[in-house]
Amino acid sequence: MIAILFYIYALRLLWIEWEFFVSLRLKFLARGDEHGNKEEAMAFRKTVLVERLNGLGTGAIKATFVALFRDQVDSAEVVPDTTKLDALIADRLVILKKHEDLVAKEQYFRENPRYFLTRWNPKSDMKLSKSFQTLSRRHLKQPSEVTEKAMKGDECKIEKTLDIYLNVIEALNKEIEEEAER
Amino acid sequence: MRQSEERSDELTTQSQAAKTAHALTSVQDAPSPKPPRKCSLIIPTLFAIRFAHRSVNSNTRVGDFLDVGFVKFKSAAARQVSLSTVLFNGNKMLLKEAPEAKDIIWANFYQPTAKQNMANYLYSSILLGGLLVVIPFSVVVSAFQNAETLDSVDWIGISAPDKNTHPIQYSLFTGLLPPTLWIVFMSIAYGLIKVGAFFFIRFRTYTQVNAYTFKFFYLYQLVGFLSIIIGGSITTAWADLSRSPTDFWKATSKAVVDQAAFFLSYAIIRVSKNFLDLSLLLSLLRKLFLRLKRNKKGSSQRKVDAWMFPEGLNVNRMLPMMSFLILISVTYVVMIPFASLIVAISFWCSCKVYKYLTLFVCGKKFEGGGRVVFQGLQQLPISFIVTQVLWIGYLVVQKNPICAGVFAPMVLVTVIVRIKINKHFVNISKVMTLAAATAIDLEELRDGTMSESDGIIDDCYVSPSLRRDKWETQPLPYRRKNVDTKISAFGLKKEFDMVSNENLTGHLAASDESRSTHITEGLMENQL
Repeated sequence: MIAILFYIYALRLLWIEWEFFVSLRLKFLARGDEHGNKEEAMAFRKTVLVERLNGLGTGAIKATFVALFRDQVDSAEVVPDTTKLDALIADRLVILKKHEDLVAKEQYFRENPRYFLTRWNPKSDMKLSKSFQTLSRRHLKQPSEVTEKAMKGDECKIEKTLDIYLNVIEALNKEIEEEAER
Repeated sequence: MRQSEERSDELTTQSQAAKTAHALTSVQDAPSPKPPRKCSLIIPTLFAIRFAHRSVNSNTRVGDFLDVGFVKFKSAAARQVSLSTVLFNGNKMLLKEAPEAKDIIWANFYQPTAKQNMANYLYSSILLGGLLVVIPFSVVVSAFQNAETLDSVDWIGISAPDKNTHPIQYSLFTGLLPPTLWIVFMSIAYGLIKVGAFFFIRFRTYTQVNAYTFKFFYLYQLVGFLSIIIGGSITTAWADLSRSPTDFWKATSKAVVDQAAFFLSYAIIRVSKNFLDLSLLLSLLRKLFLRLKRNKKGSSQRKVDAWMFPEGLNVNRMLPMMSFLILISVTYVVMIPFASLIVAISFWCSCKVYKYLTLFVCGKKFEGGGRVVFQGLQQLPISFIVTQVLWIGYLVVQKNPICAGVFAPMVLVTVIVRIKINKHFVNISKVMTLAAATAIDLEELRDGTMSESDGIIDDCYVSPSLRRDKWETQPLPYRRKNVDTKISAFGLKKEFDMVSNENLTGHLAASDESRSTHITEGLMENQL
């Protein structure tokens, strides 16, 4: 008997929970995430995802929808393939982080040389890492003589390492611009 | 100029009629997606995952575009109408509601829809096959309950410490080890399901990943729960099955009671873990350790920002993990009400912490509009039915048919309630109604907030790599100089919405006051 009463009570609570939840859920479906970006929420309630496009481009999709839903379509776009761009941006981020780390170490080293020597040996950052060597070879088209030596694994000053990082970032910026334009 | 714009320009030069005809025929004439190759079904899982990843770049590109796109309508009502219509014959152009921008996994857009479906079937079959691992493991875990049952599965090669000479070790071995093993096992299962959904099936939204994970994880828990109960006796009573089936069923039904100790220990450990998660103590200790190890001043601004970034509570993980507790508390509420009480307290506390983010270090994560809660609430009646059938079976075997007969209609009542819930709540919470969409359009029209984007899709539905405003072209300075820049940098992390109590209540109050919300809500209530 207790078990029956318990289950009836539990089912009643479940019903109440659903009543409460559905009102919130419908609000979300209608308005999107209210605590997030307002513009994103407005776009969310008017946008559809189209799958199985089978090779149709942005223009064709837009024309199709304009034909089917006259005066109702605002904009349309097929998701472009940005694999190469993604890879370039990822490469740039790696080098940005490397640059920032080295600047931070160097900056702090200037202020606290004794204390910091126990944690960081500047010599460890005077050689470019293997991964960076490949990365720079890929993106730096015409490296200077010193840079080329460093890229082969020779030691160079911290300032020069930072310069090389900046050069690669610059080269990547150009590549990314070109790829994005394409 | 982008290729998409070029294509668009080509079309605008034609007359409207020719344009319409061209567009429609181009869609109709577009090749149907190729059916999945049968050979893919027999390749081993790990190889299949690698294969799927490699094939992404070669098979999904159609020129420079993927097979997915976004279309924005001028009104929410037009969008709802488009979602409820069939555009073309055959398997061409599927329309779905666009996900929330922060819910999108852009990296998974490279997986074409046909391939995603194939991967879904393949991985779901593998997960169903995984039940063959869950069942024996549950039996082994339940055998750890006492020395006698452990002896009957001597092929494991583990024996319990002697009860008389090592009483503490024995009680730890039989009391603490089985639930801990079960928690570890289920955590691994959860991780594997999620990784597969993310990297193998490649769902396009986090919500889909979480929903898929919860579905299979719940199935594992349900099967595991029953296997633990039966496994407690099956190892010793298996021999009786051919000799005397009645004795076998008696021994099995007795296990429902015998396994109570295991489930109680499980509940205590799980609830303790939940409190630990809610306190965020482990995350904070990890951060503290990192800060001790790496000097803050010798680290870049980016690293310092990462350390200062608040930890988030993840309801998408918490709920699946706690669903086993619900199963336990519902089953043993009469026998061990203490277990149900601690589970109830744990849920109450979790609810308060998640709702109000009581700890100042908490950040709120996007939860996919309560999709996991939606799923959890649907699974609750199933848990009820399973436990009710279990107890009816127990009463019948224990020769108490009157009690079983009195209790039996409860199953029917639960089934009816589930059907009614589906009819009243589940179906309508899947999509927005046309009435609600129209109300929103009217509200925008009245407030003058309706805007058109001149034929360009909103930024939030453009691949992040193409959004120049998000690009980092130069390294960050060693330290930011003023507070404003720090705040703006902090605000860039949009995946977390820092919602303080004041903001939350402010939002609610504002929305309550607005008349337009009342109109929408009124319409919604009419829908209900």
